[in-house]
Amino acid sequence: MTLHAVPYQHPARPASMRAAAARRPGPGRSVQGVPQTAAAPLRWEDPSATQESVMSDEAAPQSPAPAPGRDPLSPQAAAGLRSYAGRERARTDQLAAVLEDLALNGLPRVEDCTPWEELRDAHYRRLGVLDHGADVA
Amino acid sequence: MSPSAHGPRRARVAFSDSAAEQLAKLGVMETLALDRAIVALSIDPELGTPIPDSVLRDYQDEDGVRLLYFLSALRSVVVVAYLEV
Repeated sequence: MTLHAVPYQHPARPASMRAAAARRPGPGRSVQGVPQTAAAPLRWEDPSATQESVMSDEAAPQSPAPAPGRDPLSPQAAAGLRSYAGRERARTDQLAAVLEDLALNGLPRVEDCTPWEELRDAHYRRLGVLDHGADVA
Repeated sequence: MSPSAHGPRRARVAFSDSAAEQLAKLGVMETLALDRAIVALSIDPELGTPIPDSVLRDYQDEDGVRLLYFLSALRSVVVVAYLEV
């Protein structure tokens, strides 16, 4: 009986499945505005799961027993490293995003870019330190 | 606009929109450091290390400034696409 059903249902299924797959974000992709992925393993939807995944992402915090052959860090030192790791990760993510954007969309046109002097002077003005266009070099 | 009469001919430097946005976070000292790096690049646009198989270059100086940039077709403009200070 399943053999009968297959020829009739099959043509419709691949298309819808492909569409669903296209909407589904890949690993590491953001999932903004994708409500239909409730079945997917969204670890950040469950508060308790969130905590665990974050922790496992950044090594065990304040582990009472350090790995054999390692000198343990103080909680502050460990927190400092984690914070540094987070900043480095954010920095690299931003750099990678710029590179990916250039790879995908190409280089910006020179005429669409803003001269440095203009940006610099406006920025110094915002910071309240512009000494009438002084050329700092 | 300003007369670039003195010294060897410098390349102009322009920022992409995303690089310009990054500027907003910088303080005075960081902006000064960035400006020094930009002056160095404008004098010698080939200072940065080429990113393999691309037109981009990656420049880092001893003040912790990092610039990803490319040169315009006539090599007269350095276009900064990303910065770190």
